[in-house]
Amino acid sequence: MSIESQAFFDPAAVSRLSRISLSARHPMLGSVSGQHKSAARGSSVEFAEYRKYVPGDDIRYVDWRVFGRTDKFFIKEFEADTNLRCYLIMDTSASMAFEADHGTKFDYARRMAATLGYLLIKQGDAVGLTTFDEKRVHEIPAKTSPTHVKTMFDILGKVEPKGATEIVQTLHDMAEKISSRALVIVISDFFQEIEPLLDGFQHMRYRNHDVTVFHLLDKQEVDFDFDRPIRFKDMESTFDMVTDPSVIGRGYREALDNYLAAFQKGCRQSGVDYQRVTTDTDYEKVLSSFLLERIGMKGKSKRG
Amino acid sequence: MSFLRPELLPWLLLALIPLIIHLLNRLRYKTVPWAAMMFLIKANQSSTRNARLRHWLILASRCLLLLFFLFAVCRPIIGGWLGGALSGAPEKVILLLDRSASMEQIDPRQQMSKREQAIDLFARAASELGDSTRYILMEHVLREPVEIAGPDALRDLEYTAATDTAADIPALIRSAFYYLQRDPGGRAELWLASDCQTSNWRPESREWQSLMAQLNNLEMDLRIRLIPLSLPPQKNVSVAVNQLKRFVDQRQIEVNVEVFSSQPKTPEFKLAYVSNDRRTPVDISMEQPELRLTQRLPIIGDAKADGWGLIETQADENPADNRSYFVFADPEPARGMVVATRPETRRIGMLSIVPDGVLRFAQNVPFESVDNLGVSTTGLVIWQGGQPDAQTESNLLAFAENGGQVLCFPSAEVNVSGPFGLNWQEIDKTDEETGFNVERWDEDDGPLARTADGTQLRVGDMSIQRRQQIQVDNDWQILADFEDDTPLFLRRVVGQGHIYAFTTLPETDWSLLGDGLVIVPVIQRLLAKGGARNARVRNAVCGEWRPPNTDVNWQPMHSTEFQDPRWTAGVYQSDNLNSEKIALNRPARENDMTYVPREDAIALFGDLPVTALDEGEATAGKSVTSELWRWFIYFALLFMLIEGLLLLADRRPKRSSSGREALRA
Repeated sequence: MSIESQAFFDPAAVSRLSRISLSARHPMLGSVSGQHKSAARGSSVEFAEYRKYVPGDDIRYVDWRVFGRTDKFFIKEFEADTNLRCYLIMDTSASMAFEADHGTKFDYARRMAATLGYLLIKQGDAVGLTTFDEKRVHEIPAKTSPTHVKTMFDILGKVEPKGATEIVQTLHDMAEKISSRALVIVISDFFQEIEPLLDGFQHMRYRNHDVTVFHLLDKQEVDFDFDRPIRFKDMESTFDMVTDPSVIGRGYREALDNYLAAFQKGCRQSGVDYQRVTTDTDYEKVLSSFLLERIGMKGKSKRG
Repeated sequence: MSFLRPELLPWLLLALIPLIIHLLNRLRYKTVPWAAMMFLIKANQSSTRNARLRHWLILASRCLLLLFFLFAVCRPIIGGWLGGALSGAPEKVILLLDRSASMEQIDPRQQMSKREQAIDLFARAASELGDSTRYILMEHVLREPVEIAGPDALRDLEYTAATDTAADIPALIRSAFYYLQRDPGGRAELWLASDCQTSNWRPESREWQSLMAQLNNLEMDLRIRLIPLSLPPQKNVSVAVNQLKRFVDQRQIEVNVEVFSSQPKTPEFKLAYVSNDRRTPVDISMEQPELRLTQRLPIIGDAKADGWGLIETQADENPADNRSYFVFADPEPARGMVVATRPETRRIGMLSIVPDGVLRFAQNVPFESVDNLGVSTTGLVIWQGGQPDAQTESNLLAFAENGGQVLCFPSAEVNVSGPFGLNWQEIDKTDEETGFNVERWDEDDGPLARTADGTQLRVGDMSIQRRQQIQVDNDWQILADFEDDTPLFLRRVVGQGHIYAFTTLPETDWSLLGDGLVIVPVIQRLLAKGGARNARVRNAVCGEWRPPNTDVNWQPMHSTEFQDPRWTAGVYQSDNLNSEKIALNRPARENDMTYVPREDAIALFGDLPVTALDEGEATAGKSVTSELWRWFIYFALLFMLIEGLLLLADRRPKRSSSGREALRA
């Protein structure tokens, strides 16, 4: 099946989004030259900083003017541009199959992953994909070749939401596995205790990764608009509960609000870019806002 | 609290609908696959006791809302005259209406008579009871049950119209008792409307006790509702012809009139004598509540011819007592008959019949010859002795029913039956000089009443050394009794006549009854009363006289409109060959201006549950019921409001699901 014919891929939307490039918040360590700031010093025209001369440095970069003033040797360093390595980590557990009126969260996540992956490769960046449920199901390394897109799309096309969620271990594993600084985009509903999640993100951040999370929720999960007793059946286990939403509704919404607030706060404190998305929102708008926001953040973030 | 529509009470179960819907919903739940289970579990754990409480409060509010609304539909009543302990509309209501002459007194606040007020209150109370109750009207004149279609029919019935009669409230209640005895079962109520005039209620009569005992023994749930309309008149004057004499030679009649006023002093007012179409007005003022007048009126035309007239006074609070009628004619001799086994009694009886020998005839009938007792022209039969044979007793009963009077004396033999249900028992003797003390006797009405000039008969002064115990049924009324409640003088009403009985003999070794001061007036009165039945022209008491022959019509001479002589005062003439005339007047006891207090009236009913309307409630024309349905609607609205507030408290603003908000997060 060709890329364009995949149901989760909208070439028109991609075309519109491609006018905006995805930027990294932090300097990347790419293998090739690209449009992103490199963590290493390079040969671009953009002056970065001075450092002391050590024997062996290229004397072409000695700043003689500074020597005249200070009688000391300083070397001028320039910014290097490199490409971005991005890892898409997508939750494919059973909870992602929840659907009310706007399609499943899984379809939404797949659409976002496919679009982001295509955009990144098109702008010369490397993209890897990991899908997980209770374990890592599919894992492809970050590559820049156009054929890598097809591989990604094949995986996205055949993966199905099932099983329980084991995101925490996946985060820790990926934090160790991704060797150099990269952009990690996690797409999930994150129905997990917050502390372990934040531990996972902090592990990623410790490894200097630029972490972005797309927290996917269905509108019904947020609003909890039920008017009669319901038997709620857990999608990832055999547990079920009969309850009257009129009795439990307020408590549910309070618990959800507390969780979202804590998760968001924790992400920000950890330096994670937190994006909450409900599935009734047009994904193109979501990605557009995300990309624009990224451009605004470019150059303002600290070096990792 | 009770309900006007108790048959709707089962619908109160509808108040359970919210609960049933709640339970059905719980049973018919939908299954929803859910991803965010962790939040549900947290919510369920903390679950807000408050949320559950709010949920149950909302459910309770809905149930109570329906419950109060349905209660209102059932029309609960409480308090007032018809409420109280009533637990539902009765199966039948017997409306006892006192429509005596005194009930025509007009209440200036209501501008209607007490009788009209009573009918209005009956109709309003009955209309609020609903359709499941039967209504039986009994008025005091005929005392016959008349089942009416509905409360509205009361106002147009002839049986609720005004009369010029006196009521006998115990007898009226007794008639209701007989009706209930024939038609028992279920819940019944007696609604009694009366002005509680003492002469009509006779609160001292022992008949009340026996009557209440009988009512209590009825195996049914019986309640009494009393409408006392006992507001006394403020400015009322009534007139009554007391005596009439004809002076043929002088071509005059002399009318003796009694005037009664409700005020201690009455300023000048008009009185008019009307006779032979001639009106003679007189201006009167009264310094006392009672006044006796004597007026001579000319006889126009034949001095010996029959005639009639009336006395009337100006309109006041009670139009029913403003007129009194009289007729006059040549007097006819009174005839009496004595049947006695004891010579002394026979002698006294004969003497008492003809004390002055004028216009009196006394016949002595030996006891052995009582067969074929010829009583057709007799007014009074004095009977002393034992039981007559069946035919004789039947004749005597017919005589009494036809207006004759019978006076019985003890047989003087122990445990002997007398006529008319008299059972003579032991003979009591006393050696005390004063003898057995007579404590009470009826001075207002009957043979022992005061004389026309107000003189009391010396009943209490009689020395009675012997008396015979008597056993009678409840048809006998005690007119005089001793200190120990043993009866002295009794009366039984039989048709249009009466049977009287003394329990002592007019013999010297028995009592001083024979000295004449009591026995003669008694016998003369009975003679006049009994003799009147045969008189071509006579005066009678309205309500006590009945047309003797249903084939004879009695046309009113005092009015051009139809009047019923059974209960309307006036002068009537028969349309037969005799062309008899009769002047019917309201009874003298209707002039009584004393009333039984409300509490005393209630006490007369003994242990029976009685609710009496307050005088103020009756005269103010307030509703006799106090319905609560409005309060129940208010409560229903209150619970609707509570439910709404609880639901609002549970509502949260909808979340914005825009992407911008999501990204800003």
